[in-house]
Formats: sequence, structure tokens, C-alpha cells
Amino acid sequence: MLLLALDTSLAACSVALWRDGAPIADHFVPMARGHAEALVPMVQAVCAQAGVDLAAVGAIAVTRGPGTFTGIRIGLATARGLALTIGCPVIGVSTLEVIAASALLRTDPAPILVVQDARRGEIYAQRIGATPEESTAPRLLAVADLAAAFPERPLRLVGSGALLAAERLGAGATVAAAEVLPQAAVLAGLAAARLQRHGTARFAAPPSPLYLRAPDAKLPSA
Amino acid sequence: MLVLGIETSCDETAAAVVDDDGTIRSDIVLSQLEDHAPYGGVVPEIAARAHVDHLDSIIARAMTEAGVGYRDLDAVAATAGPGLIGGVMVGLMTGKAIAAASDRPFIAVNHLEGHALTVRLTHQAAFPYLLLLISGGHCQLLEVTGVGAYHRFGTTIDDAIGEAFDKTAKLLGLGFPGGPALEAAAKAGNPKAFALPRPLAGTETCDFSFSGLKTAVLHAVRGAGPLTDTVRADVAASFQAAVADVLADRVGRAMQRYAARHGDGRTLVVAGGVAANRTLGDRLATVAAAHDFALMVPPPRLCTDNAVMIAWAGLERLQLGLTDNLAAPPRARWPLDMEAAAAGAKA
Repeated sequence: MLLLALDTSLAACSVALWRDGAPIADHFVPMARGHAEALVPMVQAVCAQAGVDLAAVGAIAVTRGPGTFTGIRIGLATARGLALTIGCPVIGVSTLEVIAASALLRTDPAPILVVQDARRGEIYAQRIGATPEESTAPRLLAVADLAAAFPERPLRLVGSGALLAAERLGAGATVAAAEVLPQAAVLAGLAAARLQRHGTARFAAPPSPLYLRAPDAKLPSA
Repeated sequence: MLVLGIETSCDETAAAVVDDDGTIRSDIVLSQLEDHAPYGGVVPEIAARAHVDHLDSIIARAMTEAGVGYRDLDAVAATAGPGLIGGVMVGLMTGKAIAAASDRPFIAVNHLEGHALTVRLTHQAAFPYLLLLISGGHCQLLEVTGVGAYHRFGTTIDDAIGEAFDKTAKLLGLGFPGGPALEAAAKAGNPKAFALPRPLAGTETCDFSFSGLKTAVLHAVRGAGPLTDTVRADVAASFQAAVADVLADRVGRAMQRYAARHGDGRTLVVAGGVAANRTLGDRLATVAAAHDFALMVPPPRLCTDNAVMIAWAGLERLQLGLTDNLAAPPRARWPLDMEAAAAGAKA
């Protein structure tokens, strides 16, 4: 099956096509802004490079966050619009999980803790084990609560919050990679594995964003 | 020719399919009113979240009701601005994705052009016409000579007209959205109970100003003692009468200017959400008749935000070959008139 993967959840825009266990074309461009302009032409360019018709795609993978709210929505709206038209499932994957896999650290068996700086004294964190069953769900927590939440050692820290987390977690928690951007080609591999494990029926309903943070809005005082 | 239209620039998630013969094949609008009401106004992040959650199913409904498949479409049109950028991006990306996957042309529609051209769908209006665009975010007078050809006569120098209604309604504790609530409250009131100013009335320009009126309302409410239902109704009626006077004066001025440039068969078109207000509509009808202008107002359903107008603007542009590429950017600000657009491009 042909799988198309998109990521716009952080400071890069990437698209990959995956078939029979390997990427057949992928584009990756670091960018702080401009994802809304770049994404769909990049999808077309990747399809043209691979010589495939976009309508022939059998599944779409997308990062659902946590990340920038706008970036997450750009990826999800595009993925869901494509899927609606093509009539195929959408597989949503945690951005933190893609970051862990993008760091290419699988040879070391120690668990990975992906930590992304969420500002305001908070951090997005997800523990990635050797198998999906050993991984936790992504969550948002106060930096001050990190040590209590993740007592196990050793831990390899990956992500923009790695240095911050290393300070809090102390001995046994080492920085493996501080600045890792998610890559669609890596996302494609994770999604393909998930699709193989669960079948398409599991992905009948499209994924929704994983913001982990409520909108900034105050109710008027009575 | 069939075009799918998508609208997500404020607090309605909407999709529609329209035929070039003017048949509305489907028209789905999901209002987020209840999501925003507790906050007393539209919260941009809440709006964007709701759009991405619901848009694909709204589009699926619009396609099913129209009885067409994506390959039956001749183009896909989506609002690319102006509006709340987070929501605009959701509709724009979804529209681009559908266009790419169905291999159809894409049209990035200016939301204001949607309002401006609706009357060509509902009344088969011919160019040129004088347009009064009154909504929650806008208040402007434009000379419309063709698709993409707008010349601005005047605009608000501070608040939009709908904003003035909403703020006054909030002050009176009438709830959100304020426009319809204020209009209802005004029915029982005396429009002469409070002496409110008519900002810019009688001046040479065709511009509007509503912030002074808002302040005057605040003082009137403070000086009126307890906020009883009678006071509420009187303030609402007085406010609405002031707005009607201002509109009549400014539109009258614009009609004189328009009449100096165009011959017989002159038309005034009123569009945007505030066009649904009866009191203002009646007053504009009187002014139009006095200046020998025909008055055309689309039905309320097509004056408030909807996707039919986006599909229709898309059809008009498609017929002129005005399609966009899939790198089209979302635009929080996007003036309709050529002068302001050119000034913005230089800035």
C-alpha cells in the first residue's frame, strides 16, 4: 500500500511517500513559518518525484501534536481534506513519538523520554519504550513536577526541553539529542507499522489534534 | 459548472455546492455560537479548534446533499481571508487538499468579495453597483465595476458597525451576539429617549465612525439610573436610530458621488450580517428611493457568513480564468479595494 505522510507540527515542513517498507520519496524543509503555503505544493512535488497519482494513496499519516497549535491544524486539515476526497484512512501519530524515532537512537535499549519545551514553566513529555505497550501517552506538566513523574533510570532525553529536563532529573538522565525535528519519512514508517498491526478499520474516524493545553480565553467575571 | 465553497473565517463552519446557473445544490452552516457565548465574543483559538474538528464532515454533508462526487466539481473555492487567521488556515488547507486530490482548480476567495457578489446570484445584478458592506468586522462603501474591481468610497475609521451593535448590547446586558438582541430590545423603546451623536454626519467624505457613539451610549446608560427593561429598550432604540441616521447620511453622500460617475439604472446593494437588521433596511430603502436607486439586499441567510457566497465568488472567478495556485497564503488582512490593496502591498 502507498502511504503519504505529512508533518507541519513544529519548525519544519515535510512530506514523504512510503511503499512496501521504505520511503520512495521525501522532502524536508526546516521553516519557522510558511507551512500553509509550502505543504500542498510539497505533496504534489513528492508525488511527481515518485511518479504516483495522489488519488492512488491508500492511507495518510499525520502528526497530531503536541506542537504549535497552528502547525498541528495545518497538517490535520490537509490530511483530513485529502482523505475525504481520496476515501482513505488517516493515522494520527504523536509528534513526540516521531521526534524520538527521528533521533535514530534505537540501538541503545534504554528508554527515551521526549521532552519539548512548552514555555510558561511547562514541558510536553512522553516516555517511549522498546515496544508501543511500554510507551506512555504524551502529557503536559510543570517542569517542577518532572522528577516525580519520571523516577526511572537510566533515561535518554530527546527534544528541545532535554537540557532543562536533565537539570531537573539529575543523575541517570542524559541528554541524547536536544534539537530534533520530526520527519515525515520517519512518521511514515511508524504509521505503516501501526496500520499493519491494527488494520485499516481501526482508523475509520479521523484523528483530532493533541493540543494538551486549553485555549487562552478568560470567562468574563460575573 | 459546479463549485464547492468553504468558509471558516469567523465562527461559522460552512460548505456549499453551487451551480453556475445559480442553483444552490447544498448549503450547510454549522454555527459555533454556543462555544463562544460564555465569553461574550468570538475567541479565535476556540473558533479554529472547532473548525478543524467539524469541517470535513460538514463538507461531506454538502457533497452528499448536492448529490455529487469530488470529480464532478469544476473547482474548489475556499476563503483565504480576511478573518481570524487560525480558522482561515483550516478552510484554506482543506480546500487546497480537496483540489489537489481531485485534480481540480483552486480559488482562494476574499471573504468580502463573497459578500460583494452574492447579489449577482440572488438578484442577477449587473455591474456596476454601489455596495454598502456592513458586518461584524466591516463597514464600507464600495463602487463595484466588475469581479475583482472595487473602488472604495468610504470606510469606518474605528469600529465596524456590527462591533458597535455588539458592544452596546454587552453594555445593556443583552447577551451575544448583540445585533439581533439589540434590534429585538429596541422594538419596545423610544428612539428619541436619549440624545446620541451622529458621528461624521454631514461631512464631505463617505467615512464612518462608531467609537464616539459607543462612548455616548456608555454615558447615557450611566446617567439613566437603574438598568430597567424600559431603559434598555430606550437606549437600544436611540442607538439604532443614531446608526440609521448615520448610515442614511453616509450612503446618501456616496449615492451623490456614484451618480456623478454613472448613468441611469443605478443600484444600491447592501450585504453583510448587519444587512439583516430591519430598521436599518427600511431606512436604507427610503434613502435609495429618494436618490432614485434600486435597492437589492440578499436574503438574511446569505447576508450572514455562509459558503454559498464563497462558491459563487469562486464560480465568477473561475469563469474569468482567475484561479490560484496551491501555495496561496492565508491573509488575516485583505482589503477588497484596489487602492488599499496596492498600499498594503507597498507597505
